[in-house]
Amino acid sequence: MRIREAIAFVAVGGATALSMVPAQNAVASETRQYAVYLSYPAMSNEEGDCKPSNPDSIGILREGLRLQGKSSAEIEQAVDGVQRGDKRPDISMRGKLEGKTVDAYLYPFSVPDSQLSLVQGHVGIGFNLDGKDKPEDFVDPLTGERGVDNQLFRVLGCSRPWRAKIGEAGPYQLGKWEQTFESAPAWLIDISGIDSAENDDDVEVRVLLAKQPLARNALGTALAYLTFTADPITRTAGNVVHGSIKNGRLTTGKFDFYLPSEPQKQAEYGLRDARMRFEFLPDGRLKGIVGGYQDWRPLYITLALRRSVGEQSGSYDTPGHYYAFRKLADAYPDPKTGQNMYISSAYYLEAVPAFIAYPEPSQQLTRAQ
Amino acid sequence: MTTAAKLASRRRVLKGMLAGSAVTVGLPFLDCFLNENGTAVAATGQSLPSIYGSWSWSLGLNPGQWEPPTVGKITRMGRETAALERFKDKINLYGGLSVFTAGKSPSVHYTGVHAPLTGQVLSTIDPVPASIDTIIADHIGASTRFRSLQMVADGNARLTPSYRPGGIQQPGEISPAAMYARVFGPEFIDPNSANFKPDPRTMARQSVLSAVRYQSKSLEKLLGASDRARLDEYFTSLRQLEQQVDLQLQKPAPLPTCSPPEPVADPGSGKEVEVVVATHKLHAKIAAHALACDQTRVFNLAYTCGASGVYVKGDPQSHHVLTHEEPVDSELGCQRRVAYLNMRSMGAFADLLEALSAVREGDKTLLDRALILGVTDHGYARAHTLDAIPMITAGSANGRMKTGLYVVANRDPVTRLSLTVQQALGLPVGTWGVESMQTSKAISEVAV
Amino acid sequence: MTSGPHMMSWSRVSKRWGRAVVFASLSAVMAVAQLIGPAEAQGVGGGATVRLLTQDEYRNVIADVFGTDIKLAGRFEPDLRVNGLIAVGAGKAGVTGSALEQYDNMARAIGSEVTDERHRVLFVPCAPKSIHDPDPACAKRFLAEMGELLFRRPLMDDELAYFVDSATQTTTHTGDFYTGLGFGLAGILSSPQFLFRLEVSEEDPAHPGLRRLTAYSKAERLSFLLWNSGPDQALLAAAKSGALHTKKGLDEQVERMLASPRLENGVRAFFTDMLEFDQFDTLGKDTTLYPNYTAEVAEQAKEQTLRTIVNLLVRDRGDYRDLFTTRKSEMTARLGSLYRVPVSPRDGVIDAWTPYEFAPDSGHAGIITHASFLALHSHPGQTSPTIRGKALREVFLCQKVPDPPATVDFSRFNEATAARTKTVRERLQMHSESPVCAGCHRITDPVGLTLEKFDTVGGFRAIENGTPIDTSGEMNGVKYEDPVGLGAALHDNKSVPSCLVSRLYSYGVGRPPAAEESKWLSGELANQFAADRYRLPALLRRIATSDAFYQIVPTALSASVSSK
Repeated sequence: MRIREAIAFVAVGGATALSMVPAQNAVASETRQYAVYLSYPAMSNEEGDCKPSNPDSIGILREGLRLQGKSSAEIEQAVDGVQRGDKRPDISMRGKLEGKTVDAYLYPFSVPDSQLSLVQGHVGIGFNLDGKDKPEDFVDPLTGERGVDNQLFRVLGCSRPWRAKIGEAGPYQLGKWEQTFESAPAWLIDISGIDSAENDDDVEVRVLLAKQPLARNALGTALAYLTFTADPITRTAGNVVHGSIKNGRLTTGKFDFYLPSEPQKQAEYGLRDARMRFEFLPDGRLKGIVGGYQDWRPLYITLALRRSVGEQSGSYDTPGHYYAFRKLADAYPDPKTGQNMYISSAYYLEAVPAFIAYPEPSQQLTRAQ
Repeated sequence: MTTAAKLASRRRVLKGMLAGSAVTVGLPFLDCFLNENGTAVAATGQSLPSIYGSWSWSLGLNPGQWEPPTVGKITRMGRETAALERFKDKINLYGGLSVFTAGKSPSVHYTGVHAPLTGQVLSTIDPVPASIDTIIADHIGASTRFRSLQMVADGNARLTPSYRPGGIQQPGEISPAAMYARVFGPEFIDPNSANFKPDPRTMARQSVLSAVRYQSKSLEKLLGASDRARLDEYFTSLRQLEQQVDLQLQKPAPLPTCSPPEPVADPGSGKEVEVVVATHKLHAKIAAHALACDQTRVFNLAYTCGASGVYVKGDPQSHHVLTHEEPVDSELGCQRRVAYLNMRSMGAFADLLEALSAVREGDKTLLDRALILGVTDHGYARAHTLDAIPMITAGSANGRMKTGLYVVANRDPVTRLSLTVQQALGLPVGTWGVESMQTSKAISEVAV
Repeated sequence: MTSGPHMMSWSRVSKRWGRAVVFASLSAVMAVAQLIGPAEAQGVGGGATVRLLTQDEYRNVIADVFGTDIKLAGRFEPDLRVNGLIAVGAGKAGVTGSALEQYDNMARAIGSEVTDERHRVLFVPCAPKSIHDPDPACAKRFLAEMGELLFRRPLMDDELAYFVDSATQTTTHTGDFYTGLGFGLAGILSSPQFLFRLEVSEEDPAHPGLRRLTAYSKAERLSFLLWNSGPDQALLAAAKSGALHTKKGLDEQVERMLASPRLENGVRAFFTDMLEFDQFDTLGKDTTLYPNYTAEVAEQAKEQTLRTIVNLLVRDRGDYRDLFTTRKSEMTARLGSLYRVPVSPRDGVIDAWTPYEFAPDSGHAGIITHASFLALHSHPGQTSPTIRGKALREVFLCQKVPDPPATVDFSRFNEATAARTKTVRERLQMHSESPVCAGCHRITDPVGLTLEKFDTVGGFRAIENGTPIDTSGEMNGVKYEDPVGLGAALHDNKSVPSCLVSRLYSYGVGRPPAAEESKWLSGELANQFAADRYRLPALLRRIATSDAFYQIVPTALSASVSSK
């Protein structure tokens, strides 16, 4: 096994600050490796920034039953029942297509557009992906960049499962990552060629998948400094990009980013024209953003897969989000219909220090196998 | 119905056939019910049995920080004993009691706590005689299911200061869940339960245990003196086990104050202070219920033992390390973080008193018929002093000790209090302790 | 009618007074013999011991007799450590009331499981005439067979009779033969002959005036030393036939046992005791400061050291002293997270063990730089060079560091000084300057401070409070710069192998060595250990085939166990 050794800076808080001395040979460059324990759409919500509020679980239930043709009395009875703890009624069959009742998740356009509230402001996190400063773009308060493209934030930012302050995760992602903690193969970040963690004009960043999931430490969070075996699947082979570090902040060039995922979290993370930026935190962790354009259909599918129970318990009006994605998608139009198929997005990545063991080339499997 | 008739009807003896053998289901001689005044008394008119508990904590209290402002009746507590405020009428605090080593070499975090419990100045290499809880248990605890119960809250089972004769240490149970299973598990017989059906296997146990006893008796002849003592200890334990099994064949008299608690789960392990406090609280709860159900009348509960590795989460320095390394806070006049952990120690004692007071017995509580002796290892932990070691008693052993007092002795040995405690519990002892720790003077201020 | 060898001399003396006369004359001879004087009458040996089975010994005996799927439904009281060893503490531990309750619970549970429908076909060698009625003959067969393995010797007739009788009575009470068997077995498991290792001695024909362990007691001592369990059938047979009393017979058994894979169990058990690994059970670390120290990691830290020891000393038949310098070890990826070193997960499994060698510049050398040693002898939240130094001297050099004195003057350590010190080395400096403290701190701190680059869970660090950590130190005149140098100093220190010899012997006999034994251990045996190039199996062979290991020299102080 060829192992890339990593030496990470760790400063333990408290009365005595202890840190590790970097490699003796100052000329050789350093590699820092990490395992991601949480990722979430980059939000920057504030109180009252979505008016009117989107319907909550009861509101979604009411509207769903109404579309199913239930009477007011029946609706109120069902609502009472749910509030008392009864099972939630299934509201999937509420669409109308050519006179037939159809599944609203499979055919979201069979349900009228509920005109979800979308984020209206201009403070948002991410990157300026198209180089333009358009009216719908944001200003990123963390970098000062103008023309930041993050229409995903506009769509999800008014829905309870994703709302969060800057740099924080909403309940949906927190829950999903916790649920898949011990089962999902970990995401690994390998930053090599670091001559100086403060200023370095060329480093290489690689994002890949591990064969093992994360492990827990005594506090229940991700165990740091665990060694993971890199999973050499071809689809992540393209996750390599160069970047530079200025005043301790790493920013990369453009590349196409892809990581497979668990459908509960998100069907996949495939970002075109992607860029990343990272900060090395004092406690040794890595925190940063990856932004780019992604196909919005898998995003919709992620919601649709959770169907009626998910829609109600998560309070997120699935067909309404379909319309919102369609409306706000802002790149790569379909040549026939002109509908934008990609939506600008930004995701946070948080990671603990780790080691990566790369298998020998002969042990790598090709796709055919 | 006259009292005598009541008694007679209660003293009924059932003869039943149990798988071919006769089993006598009788009532122990001590029944209990309320008398006309609403006071819980025994059938014989005597008060409910007295209870004894040893309680120990490490690292003392900061001198000047725990004492009430005036000698005599306690009006207010000191800073580190503030948690005991609501029990001030039920406890006594003692200052000025010391350990006189008389030239012997004491062991730190050891001699101070063993002196009042054994009457001797001991270092860690000395053989240990029977401790006071064992002595008292042999006197008042001989008829209960357990002669005594030992528990420890900080995981230091082998530092629990409880010894049988011959230097056999009785390690404390570290897990409240295991303690619960032992006392209130499947072998617990609820005295208030309407159905009592002795298990046929219990008789099998009886025959097996006596077989064990008979066939191994001859071993004693093979052994030298010190090993014979250890085998004696085994046989003592065997007798206690046989007695426990015998009790399982008798329906116990109903005890109105007995209610088995809900099963408990261990709050974790280790010496983080919240875990130790929580563990201690659960032990106290189980002990209180065990006492109320007359499963035992003696217990030994150690909050912290030895040098105490208790620490506050996130603080790299543990209690013991702090006593030596933390600078004295000029504003407070003592070590601040040490004071905090001392207060937590006293808070734990308050938890114990709370658990005992929660058992109401007529117009009194379990605490009233108990006598708890609280001991620690040093007067001033920073300097490992053995002078003026703070001591506490709680409860009055059925009115045989005055309470609510702060007593300051004039550099007397700690054994004076041990003697007072034993006398209050009715032990026929006039002199206690050896050599420099010997005394025949009880503490008159609290003796009744 | 079976009777053990220890019965033979008495069976010929029929009258009780006859026995008394013989016994009295024996005592007289012994008393006179001790007056005669040195070597021949004294002999190298010591007292027989009565040791309570330790937790592991109990578990191993049960597993050997009944298999590993039989559950132990009770709790053990913590083992007692005396003179640095649980094996010696076992000779002082008693059975308290609460302990016997637990033993009784375990005994009944084992008895019930062994005789349940699933297991009885494996263990009960006969079938009763009726399942609801007593069958003393079948009960006797079962209890005699099980009893011999559990008591580590054949049961005597009266012992067996009591257990068969209680089985019969139980069957009568409960109407079930197998329940009766289960309770009979439970009686055996609650008896002192099972719970204690009761060593029995007899006159030694080879050394008139001295005694020796009976054949069964020899088998027991040998078996627990080499395999940490009771004697197997082959060893019991060698005891029964008297072969163990012959040089050839003893050598044969020792060679067989040294060649067995079960030797590893014995070696692990010895080092687990010597290195005080039982204290891991109550070791806690502050997870706020050291979240990477989990229960699994702690288990693996212990296992790492034991594997290193077994690999070097048993598998490779290596030099014991190399334990203090070797960088070779085993690791798992999970354990690697504690050391903060990369360890490729073997077969993709983060808990799989894989050979590992610490890098030459990593600062690791020998087992004193393993997390198991470093974490065990530290506080929950910070290191303690004093505790580490003390532990190193006591565990590996057999030196006793006295307890701190009660009269400590802290006025020297005033507030201003406290604020000025930046490192723990500076703070401890004060101890070595005060005459009261210096005696001990001068021998513990220079050793422990060398290990300061390892934090309280064994992770590496180079800086404390902005100051690089100074790891220079000195031990018994030998100076060094870092733990590698300390390891080399230990390698060359004569006390290290002689401490092992003495400890191993104590472990085997269950008590500190007697005066004559100490002379032999530190003289002839230590020299032989050196000549054997410090190989542990060779040392075990020498001890296990020595006269001393089985010689009982009655002294005024030690407990002497005489046969009937």
